[in-house]
Amino acid sequence: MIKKKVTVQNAAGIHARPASLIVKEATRFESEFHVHMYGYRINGKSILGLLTLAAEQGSELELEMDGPDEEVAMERIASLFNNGFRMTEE
Amino acid sequence: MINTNKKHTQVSMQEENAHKPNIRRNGITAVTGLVMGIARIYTRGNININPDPVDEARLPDEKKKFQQARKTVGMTMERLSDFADSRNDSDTRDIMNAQYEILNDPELETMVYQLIDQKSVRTEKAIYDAFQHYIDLIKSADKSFLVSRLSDLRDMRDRLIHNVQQLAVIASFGKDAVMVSEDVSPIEVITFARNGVKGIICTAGGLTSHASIIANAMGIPMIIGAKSVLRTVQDGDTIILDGYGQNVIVRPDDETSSSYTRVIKRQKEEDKFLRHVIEKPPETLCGTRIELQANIDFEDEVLNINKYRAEGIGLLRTDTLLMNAGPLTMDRSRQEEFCQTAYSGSGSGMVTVRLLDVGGDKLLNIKSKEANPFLGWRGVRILLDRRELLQSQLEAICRVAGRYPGRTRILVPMISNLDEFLEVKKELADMQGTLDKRGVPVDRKVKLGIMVEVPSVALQIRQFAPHVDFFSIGTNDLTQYTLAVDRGNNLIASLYQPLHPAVLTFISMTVQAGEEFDIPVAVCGELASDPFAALVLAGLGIRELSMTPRLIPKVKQAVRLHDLEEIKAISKKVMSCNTRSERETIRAEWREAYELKLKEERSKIIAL
Repeated sequence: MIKKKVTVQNAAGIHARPASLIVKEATRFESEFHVHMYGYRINGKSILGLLTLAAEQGSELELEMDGPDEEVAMERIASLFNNGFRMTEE
Repeated sequence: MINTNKKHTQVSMQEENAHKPNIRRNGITAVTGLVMGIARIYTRGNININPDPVDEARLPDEKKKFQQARKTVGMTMERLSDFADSRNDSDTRDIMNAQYEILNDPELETMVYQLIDQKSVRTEKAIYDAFQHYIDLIKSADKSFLVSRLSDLRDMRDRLIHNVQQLAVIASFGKDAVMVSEDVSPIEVITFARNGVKGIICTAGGLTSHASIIANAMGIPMIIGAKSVLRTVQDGDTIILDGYGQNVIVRPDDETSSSYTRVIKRQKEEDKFLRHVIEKPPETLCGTRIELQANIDFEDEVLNINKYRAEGIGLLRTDTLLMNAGPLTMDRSRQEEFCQTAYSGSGSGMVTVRLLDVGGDKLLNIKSKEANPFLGWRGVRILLDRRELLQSQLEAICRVAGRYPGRTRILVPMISNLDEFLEVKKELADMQGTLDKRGVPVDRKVKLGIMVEVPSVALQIRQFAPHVDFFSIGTNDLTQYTLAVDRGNNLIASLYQPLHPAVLTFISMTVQAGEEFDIPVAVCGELASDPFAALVLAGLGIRELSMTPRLIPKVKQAVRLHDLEEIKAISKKVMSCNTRSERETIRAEWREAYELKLKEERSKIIAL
């Protein structure tokens, strides 16, 4: 299992579109994926779970990946966060 | 005060109208037939959740309902999302993607199942509560950027619940139900069929809609375009659907209902009488065999092949698969599964699989912005532009063909010149080579043939003959292309004449080329299921007719009561008709003589 801290970069926070991008990417991997925030731990492959985090710009999250392809999966998900979910400022 | 009065009068007038007996409303027959039953008004919407717990034994069913609803909603969404893609509409696509992820959310599923198990509630209640849990959480975060997205959650929730309830509603309608609705979807028609619905009346709808194709295959009489029916009928009223008279009678009076009862009774006797012919060979009096094959659209229909003793499948339409896959994408394993069902349900008969024949009026309505869709991007023209689609079809067919060697014919639709056919032929050989290399069993005897439906092909049929393994004539399109008559246009319906000498000449030319080059020639259009037309075709030398299986006994009966000389004479007469009225006269004369033969046959059967 590996963990990594990321920060929400985009102005609009994790709303429906970023959340669905995260789920889409995460479900391509076998590894289990969870997100920690304010002591909550949610299934990162659940869009509803991600939305309930209500993560705004600047929020810090910890990603937790556990499984055979955890390295690649972590890299892909973290890069989604780091490039602001492939979108310009809204 | 005045207003209230006025309103009051209107209501009572409406009510009066709503109870008046014997109201006739015209429509357009999409599937012929005559039924009398109980009108059930079928509408979408009105979510109403029953919170009471259900019996424990029903809980597994409740879970299945959730699965089913999720699948159905998912299908519709895929199509919408493809549509958004095709228009480069990224906003819609993003919303759709998010909704799709909500639909397939693993935590949502777990929660729905937990609620069903722990609280013994109905699926719809579990769905509602699970969504409410998330809605509450998101609301409590009080972030404006999320609150505006709650509508996506509510939308998905309502669609799922709605779907669960519709299926339950249909199942509760009972055997005498005649559905009255604004419009119906193909999936709804299949659900109607599985629940024994007697007839379908729509206030909207097009003749060539996929829903009516399925209703026809399942033998459910259907009338569309019956515009004001919903205003006169009430749920539970007695209603007559008269496909022959192209009308609907709401609350028939005693006289009307007893006269229709007589006709329906006669019809049932006729059906019973036709059953004796099912086990008999499809031969003329002099012993000439006319093979009667099945047109198959979807899995539920495969059982009818054996039921009506069809000799193999003359036309396996693969277009239906698109319904589940969204425009222009097809899942290979779904196609394979479909072919597999068709092969295993058709004994040892040949299976003629037609490659995707969409475009024009079919299925792609949302995309066809062509000025002349029937002369546009359809059939093989689409397949050659979208090679991956063609290859996935060929792969699915070849894989199944390898398991049933010697039984496969592949039919290429909408061929208008030889190059197209040669391209497909090359793709088939390539696919067989690829599969062979991968160790998949390949049937090298797969036959590849063309639809003869474009006049240029019929005129040059002898140039095609050396390259193809068989011809199949699609009479619907051949008629419309030959006579320049749009078969869906009611304004010119009388000009749509499949037995026009020009059309018959093309058919005859194809038969001659077939004989010369020793290639089988089949007819797979609707025309083949009309007994008179079937005889005309047989008289021209056609020996394979393919039709909706339930119509086979009627045609077989006609074949069995004529000898080849008679049949040829009928064809000759029809070929020489220059006007429609002459043709109608010949048909009427034949009908009269045929009724006498039938009468004699009936008395023989009864004597036995």
